[in-house]
Amino acid sequence: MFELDEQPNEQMGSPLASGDIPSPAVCRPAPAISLGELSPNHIAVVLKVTGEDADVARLKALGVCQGRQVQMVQSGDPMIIRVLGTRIGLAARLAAEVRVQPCHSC
Amino acid sequence: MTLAAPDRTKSRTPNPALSQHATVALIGNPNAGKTSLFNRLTGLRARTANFAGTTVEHRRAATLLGQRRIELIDLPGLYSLDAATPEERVAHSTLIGEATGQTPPDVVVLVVDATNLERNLFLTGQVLELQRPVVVALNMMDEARRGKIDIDSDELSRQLGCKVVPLSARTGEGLDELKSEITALLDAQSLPRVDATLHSCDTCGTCPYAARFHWAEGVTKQSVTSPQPLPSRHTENIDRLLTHRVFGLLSVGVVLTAIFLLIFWIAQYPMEMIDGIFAWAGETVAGRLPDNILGSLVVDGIIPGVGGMLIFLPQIVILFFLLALLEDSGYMARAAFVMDKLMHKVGLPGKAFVPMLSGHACAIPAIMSTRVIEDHRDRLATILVVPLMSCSARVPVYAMVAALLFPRQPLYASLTFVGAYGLGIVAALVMGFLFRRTLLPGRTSPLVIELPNYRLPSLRDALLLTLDRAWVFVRRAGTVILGISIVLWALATFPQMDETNPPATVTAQLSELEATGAAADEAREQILSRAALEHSALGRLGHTIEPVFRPLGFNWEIAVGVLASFAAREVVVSTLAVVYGVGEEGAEGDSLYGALRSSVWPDGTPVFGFATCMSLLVFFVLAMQCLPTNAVTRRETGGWRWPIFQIVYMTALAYSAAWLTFVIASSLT
Repeated sequence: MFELDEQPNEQMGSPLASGDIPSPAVCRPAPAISLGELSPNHIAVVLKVTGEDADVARLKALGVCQGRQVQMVQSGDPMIIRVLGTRIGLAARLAAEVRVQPCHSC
Repeated sequence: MTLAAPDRTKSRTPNPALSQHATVALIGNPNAGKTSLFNRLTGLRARTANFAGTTVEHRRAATLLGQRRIELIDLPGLYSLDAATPEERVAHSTLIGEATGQTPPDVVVLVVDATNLERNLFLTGQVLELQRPVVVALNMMDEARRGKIDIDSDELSRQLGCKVVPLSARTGEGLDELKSEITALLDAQSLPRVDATLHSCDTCGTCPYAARFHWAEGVTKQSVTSPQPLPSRHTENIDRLLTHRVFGLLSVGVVLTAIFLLIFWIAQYPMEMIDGIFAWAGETVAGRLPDNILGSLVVDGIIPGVGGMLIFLPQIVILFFLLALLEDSGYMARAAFVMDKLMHKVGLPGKAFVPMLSGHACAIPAIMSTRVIEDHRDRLATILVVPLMSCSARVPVYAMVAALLFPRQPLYASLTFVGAYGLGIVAALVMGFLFRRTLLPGRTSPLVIELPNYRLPSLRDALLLTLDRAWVFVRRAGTVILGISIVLWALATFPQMDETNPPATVTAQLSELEATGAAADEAREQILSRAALEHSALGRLGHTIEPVFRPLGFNWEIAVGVLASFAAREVVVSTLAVVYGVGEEGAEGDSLYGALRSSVWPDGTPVFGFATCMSLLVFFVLAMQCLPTNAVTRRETGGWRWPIFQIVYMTALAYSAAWLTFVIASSLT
């Protein structure tokens, strides 16, 4: 639970900190995974959000939608992700609807 | 939803008619400081109201802007205008003037969090598209400066095609500029003109959200030098503890225990004071009013009835205040986050946790605080079960039963309390589970919640919110209680017994009293008032429905208590005091318990034996017995259907559980 301590953002050369928004093309191709599978502190770009119900709409309105960059802050159920500079608490069931491309090789 | 074509024509039409009743609407994301800004602009003049035909609440206030009177409307905080939630629908229809009986607001003030511009620009884009006169209030500039976020507000203004006023609702900087911009817009309505180049998006595909976020990203890049807000170290460090799987749960326990200790500890002083004031008022008024029906209505009906409701006001106010502080600090989102998984096991969302807990002080603020739950069915299920939690009005009843059962055994007496509280919690969870399986089927909404940065809560905002809510409580609960007190008083007074010619049994009792030779004006009085009550409609009603309550082990006296406490449960104690002829003053002391203990069935067995006491306890844990709560449920659900269902199901549950308890307890003894 406290693994975040050892990995401050700066170490990642985090694009979040620099303000650059990489398009998926910048990343070395990595297999797309579901958002819930993203490791703590890793960053990914959202490829697709499936599902149509009101909960998915809320998720999208908070910024988890195609093209946005997300960072896993604390995995688990529920998990904490960071998107558009805000921390979002998110149930694993919803995270499963989100396909992301990890950027750890950016 | 697609981005509208840019409006190239910048219309400038002076509108003199507006100078009379101009309306200005505030809209913005949650946590953007919208409420603080509203309070800054209006102060104490605000009132809380529902949008016509909905249960969505907002605040509005008439205020002076220069020489002009304007009506300021605080729309609910939202992330988008997609009409997915009632709040979004209401905000959207208000902005375009489709809301019932409304014209669109003359000016829209878009409150934007400067420390988190890109996220806030999503809603901004949607509002700009509605083509209403808009001014952007770039709030929290003080925090943005501290975070070294450099925003070029002129560039932002160019990008958005409308005026942008940097300000801080917290410090008050920029407020005068905002006011003069609003005035300027009222004088000459100009519509926002969004730059056409920002509407194109090559990589967005079919997702309309993506297109908007792409646009927001572009605008942010153009106008901010550090566009991505740096994560707050502060918040991250605190959250490592407060959202931890184990420590998070522990902290929820600690925080909420602290809240309840504070409520019960602080509230006792004002409660004693209110009690004293009403007792004094009763005596004073009794001395001045003639000793007739009218006097009795005021002294025996209205004053104790309203006093009995107002005595809980301190607890409610403190609860409202502490909840507002916790909400503003950002902690509430964490409590919902930590509790989500556990709550899901019974089919309720994590956001239902705080309301259910608040129900232990009073169901009314608890039901009002269910507004944070977005999903309609989740919210309804929570509202339905919240009154099962043991609120403080039940405490006098529990205390009475515990004293009857275990007069000199404090351990067992406190276990009685624990058992009663536990029963309420278990019943609420079980009923919540059942409702989600049957009446309100469907999956519980998965958690999606913003965890805002922690910040020092604003005392001023919390105080204003508390005043607002407390006023709603007094108005709603007060009117109901006032009406019910009058009805109950009438039932307990009429038809009147002829005191000069009482029934034979009473005469016999009186002569028996005289035979003992005791100087007993008081005892005489008690016998007469008991006889008067038995003679009244309420007493007769008690006799009539006694067979209904007999299976629970209740006699007609208890049945009268149950009837009288229909409006407010704590009334049962004082009613029993009257029925058992110890007088209202006896309700506190041992005289009531003595009278209750010596009361026997016709066959000589005690009425308040183990079985009846347990059954009475279970009944009061589970029964609705609180009309003010029903009034609030009606207000929050927008009709009588759910409050009526609430009364029916809880009464049925209380009755069957009490019956079962009586049967089992009887077989044990």
